[in-house]
Amino acid sequence: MTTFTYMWRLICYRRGWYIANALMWTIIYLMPIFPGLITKAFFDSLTIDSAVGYGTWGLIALLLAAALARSAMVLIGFITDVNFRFRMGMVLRRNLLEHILKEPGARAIPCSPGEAISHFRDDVDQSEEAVSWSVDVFGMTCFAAVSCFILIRIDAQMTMLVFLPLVIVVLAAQLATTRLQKYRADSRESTAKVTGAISEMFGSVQAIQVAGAEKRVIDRFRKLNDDRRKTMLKDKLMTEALDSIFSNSVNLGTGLILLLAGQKMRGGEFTVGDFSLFVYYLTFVTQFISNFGRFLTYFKQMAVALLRLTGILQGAPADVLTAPNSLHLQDEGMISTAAKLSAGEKLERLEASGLTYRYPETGRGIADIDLELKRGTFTVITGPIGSGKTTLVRTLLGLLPQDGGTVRWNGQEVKEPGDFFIPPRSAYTAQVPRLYSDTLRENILLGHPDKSGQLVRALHTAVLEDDLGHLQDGLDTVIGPRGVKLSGGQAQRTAAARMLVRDSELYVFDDLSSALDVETEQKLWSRLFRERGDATCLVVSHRKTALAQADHIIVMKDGRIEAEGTAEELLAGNESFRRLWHGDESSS
Amino acid sequence: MELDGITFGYDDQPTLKELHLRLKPGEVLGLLGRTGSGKTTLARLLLRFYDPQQGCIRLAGTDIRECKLAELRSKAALVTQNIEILQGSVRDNLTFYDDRITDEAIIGVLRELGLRGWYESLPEGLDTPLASGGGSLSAGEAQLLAFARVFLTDPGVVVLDEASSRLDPLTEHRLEQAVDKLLTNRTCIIIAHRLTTVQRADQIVIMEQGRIVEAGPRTKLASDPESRFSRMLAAGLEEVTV
Repeated sequence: MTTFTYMWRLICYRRGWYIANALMWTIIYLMPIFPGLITKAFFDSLTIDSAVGYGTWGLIALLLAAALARSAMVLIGFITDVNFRFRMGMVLRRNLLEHILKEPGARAIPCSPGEAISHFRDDVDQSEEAVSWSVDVFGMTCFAAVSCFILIRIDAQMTMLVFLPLVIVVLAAQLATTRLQKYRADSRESTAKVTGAISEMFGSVQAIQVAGAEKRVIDRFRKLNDDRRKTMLKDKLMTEALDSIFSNSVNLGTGLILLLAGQKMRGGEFTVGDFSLFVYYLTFVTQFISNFGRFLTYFKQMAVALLRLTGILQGAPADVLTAPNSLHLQDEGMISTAAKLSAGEKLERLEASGLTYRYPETGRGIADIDLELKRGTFTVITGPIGSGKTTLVRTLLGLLPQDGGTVRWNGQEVKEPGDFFIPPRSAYTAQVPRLYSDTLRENILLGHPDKSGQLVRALHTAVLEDDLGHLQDGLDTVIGPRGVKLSGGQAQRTAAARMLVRDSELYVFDDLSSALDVETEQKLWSRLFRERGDATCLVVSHRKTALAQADHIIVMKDGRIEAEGTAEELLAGNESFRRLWHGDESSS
Repeated sequence: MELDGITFGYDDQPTLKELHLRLKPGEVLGLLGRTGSGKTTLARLLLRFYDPQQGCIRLAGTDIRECKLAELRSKAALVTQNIEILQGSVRDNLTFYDDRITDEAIIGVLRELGLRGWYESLPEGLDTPLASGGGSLSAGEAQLLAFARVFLTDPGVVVLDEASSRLDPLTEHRLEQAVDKLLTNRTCIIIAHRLTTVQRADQIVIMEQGRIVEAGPRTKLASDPESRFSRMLAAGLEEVTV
């Protein structure tokens, strides 16, 4: 998408508001035409006897009225500007967010969260700025055209001089384009790095403190800031230098006009009124010229913003950004009505064949995985670290984009696994639970309505009921950023409860019990077995309690299935499985 | 290491109550207890992420509140359950921008931890970028990297807080030799909910709801059939034979 189409599409998003805005500002910019003519009449009335019939005081009153009217119009102009501008910025942010949410969960953004935030903030602002200024440029061009017409009728030669700087400004802006965009891209890049570093630092406070690396981390941060200072300086200097070229060429033009006007007035063909009109319009024309230059700068910088925003889309077309979506929040009723499955949709058989995913950075991943889950079965995926267990469940559930293979739900191919594998079809607990600084209740429900005691049941199955008593406010305890007030095991069980509170056909747990003590773990598994009904379970685990009760075990090695079967069969026939099993036993 | 009447709570309700504990230099303490019993909190106090509301912690006779934070944390190392991976190269993640650590030392440690195969699969070696939060790194590998961070420093006290919980039994077994080497001549606290992890401990402490409910030498507790520890051992064996 070219920068121009991008801008055009943004304008089209709220065409009505844009037209209203453009109209308002054009009126605002055209209004100084009248005070100019009034001033001319005023000065002419002082020198030439055959004055217009208004009288001096009448002219002053007219001037005041014009100023007041313009102020009122500016007020309305701001209302239309804000309305258009923020709608446009919001639709960009909304579409960007929607796209990120649609991407496979484990690879939603191609950069650190901090850098993504800088895209949302600065690149959207930049786009807004350019589009918003286009209105001013339009209005000012109208003013320039009208004033040009009036001035030419008075003196064509002088008018030429007034508008000459415009040529210089456009030329300078064109010549500087490459530099301008390079410096802007560099400064945006280094700003993103600083923002990224801040979020990384706050995200890893404990690791940094434990390593005693505060000073080194801060030194690095200082270096990043220093880089940013340099690139920003270049960017700013370039922008300011252009700006000063714009305004100075305008000032030089003014000087020339004064010299020429002096001569002409001595000759008598140029009245004081004409001179005052030229000087009066000159300020507005110069404003137009330097603002036109500024708009050209913004427009070129918008190209950089567009490039960066397209980058975060990870290959999706840039049209996604400007899709005309409504900004209104959906009615809350939408969420709960979706939560019913028809009889035909209930899970009977889930199959995957030839499932493949490779991490682009390392080339590792999984390849050619076939698996089949029947209703009500309990399947365990096991294997050494780095063998692809988590990658397998993530690819199956659409949290990573499949490189190959098909997934079938009751024989029907699943086209969009990311949208498909959600409650009430399937629920998932990640290996590392993500908790928020909110109450325990909200962390579990996440806005899900607590119907008919689901929460109590989920808490019981997840073996959390005893812990509640030890928390200050029970379910209403605020658990701190990332759930810092909970122990590792409590955090895992909270994540499990979050999954269990959503009735689903398929439950997928990734390494659920790693932080649990033996007793709690046994309770958890036995409750799960008892209370899951005929739900199907897919579990990543090394734990014997899980392995021993599994209907089917998949042993992974180097991204492929090495062996399958029940614990007994595998103990008899598979060396890797024996070693995984006995690694534990030999050391207890 | 000495804990003298420690009481601490994140809010009004104390998480740890009146803890007393003594550990000789070079000894290994196994800290057991149900999830939520206060083990991790204790580890956080040792590294002064928080200070106790009552009582004090002494290292070699000095109150740790009198040490400089940087000094304390260069002496004490902590490996936790949750591993924080920064966006940056593998090297930066292991050294935290410490230029004094050579690449040879890093590769040596990775090899020792059984990450050689993983290291060799990296397209740009130690310069390979890791995504924020780990990206393609598995949680088990991330946990081994957290170990590597500690191996690259030279702490006097090591706290392992469920440090091997995400490893498969086989990898955990392989890691043991490396950990043995790490713990030589170092004081160590191993926090665990699984018994296999504490079998190298000299002392055992069992916590429940913020209090110590049992403490003593491991061999003595194991041979006493009345002790909680031996009961836990029995339960742990049951788990194996399910």
